[in-house]
Amino acid sequence: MKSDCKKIKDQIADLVTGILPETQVHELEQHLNKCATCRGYARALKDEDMLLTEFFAKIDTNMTSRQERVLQTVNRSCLSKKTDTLLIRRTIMKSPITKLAVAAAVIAVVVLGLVEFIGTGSKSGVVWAEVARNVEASPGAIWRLRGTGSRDPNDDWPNAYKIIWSSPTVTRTDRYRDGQIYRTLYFNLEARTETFVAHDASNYLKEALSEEMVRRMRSDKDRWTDPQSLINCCLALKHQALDRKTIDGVLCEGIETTDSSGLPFKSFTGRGWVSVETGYPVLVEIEAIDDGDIRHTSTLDQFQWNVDLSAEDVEPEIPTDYEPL
Amino acid sequence: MNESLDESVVRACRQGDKTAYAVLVKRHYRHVFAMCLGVLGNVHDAEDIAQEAMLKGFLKIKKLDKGEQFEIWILRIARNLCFDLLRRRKRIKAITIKQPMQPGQRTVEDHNLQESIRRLPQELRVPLTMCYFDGKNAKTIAEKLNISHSGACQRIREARKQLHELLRERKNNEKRL
Repeated sequence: MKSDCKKIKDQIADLVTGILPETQVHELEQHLNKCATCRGYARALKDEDMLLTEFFAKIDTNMTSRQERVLQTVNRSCLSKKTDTLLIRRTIMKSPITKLAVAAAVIAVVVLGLVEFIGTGSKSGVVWAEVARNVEASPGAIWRLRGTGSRDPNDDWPNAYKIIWSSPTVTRTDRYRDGQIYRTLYFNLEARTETFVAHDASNYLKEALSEEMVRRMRSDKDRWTDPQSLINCCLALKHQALDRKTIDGVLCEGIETTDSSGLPFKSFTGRGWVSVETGYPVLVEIEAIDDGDIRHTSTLDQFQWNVDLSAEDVEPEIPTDYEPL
Repeated sequence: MNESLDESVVRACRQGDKTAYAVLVKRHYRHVFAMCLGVLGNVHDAEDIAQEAMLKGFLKIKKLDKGEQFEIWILRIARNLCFDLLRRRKRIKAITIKQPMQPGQRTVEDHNLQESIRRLPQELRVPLTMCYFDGKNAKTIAEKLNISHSGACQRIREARKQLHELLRERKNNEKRL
């Protein structure tokens, strides 16, 4: 009986999942008529089968809207572009696990916002208030961004990174993997144009930006890339000074915060390093763990400050053999 | 019939007809989503990766030689993207960490079910998800996963049995609390 029951359990599992051959149904029914244990097992699996069917049906109810989103993405090739540089907004809105862009923004805020908290009493003589002013006054900046835990499956540390160019009127993000550029997204807020280049597919797209889009980018830009906005955002965090260290040959003074209040993380560590000589940020690092126990890291480095980013300098050149989308 | 339809649609896409790709999306997105859901174990990730896969398919469609193989091709793209994501999260096996109740999960039962499904090994979770989400057809599942029919049946059966044990364990644990 026991070996029969073992085989019958397999058949019951096959029955509820729709893979039991017709030829075995009679044998199964005969056994169930005689064996209360197996009848109980069958009842339990059938009850679970109903739950599973309902469970997946609930997920299925949004299929049409998902397809619509995909079609919009494909037709406009915008959502992926938006994901490239506006990953922040989209992933935050969609998922509790996202957080990378929030973290990145907070990182910069930590660096710049710590200014106010430390005041003029720093060990080394870095005047943190001046750091914030320097950043605010910088007409343009370029930096490298690397991270893990990103929702973008193409962001794999350390082989992938982004180079971000940012000024009040133009922004550009170049995405690299294994040293090769594979995606460029460029916005000119004055001319109200956007350019998307998929180097890996030899495609590009140029489109006009709507007023709404420009408005959102300006507000997002203020929130995520404007140093003064980031400073204001960070002032609430508690932090402490770090000992000096040399980073890429530059003597730096650092500040660290582990204050996660108000942030969507279970734990959060942000460190910012500023050049003692120039008073500009050199390195920003964060590590955060979200409610799903996923570890996120983000590193901003290779900063270039006070860069004059005009559209002529920043707008990507489209190779002649690329095809328009 | 479906294969030859895919072939003509893919041909149109390769000639620059963006609207033709909508046909492929409507026909195959659901299967791609089901695959991603099985590999990744949660709806949010599955949505993102499935979308990424469909977009990638659109951008790279000229590299697809045989249009009738679009489904297998796009599923492979999706699967690779899923593995990329899991690799970045430094996970090798199925997601086993506890997740909080997700929006849309109206009952504790749903939550328990999702958590138990997530605890299944990936090689069992994928066919099980495809079975319940995408139609209980082992032959189709076998084709999509590029495994034998008997292999697909075996995995589905084992998944179902293990899921039962996981649900029973949860129920017993709740009683003890």
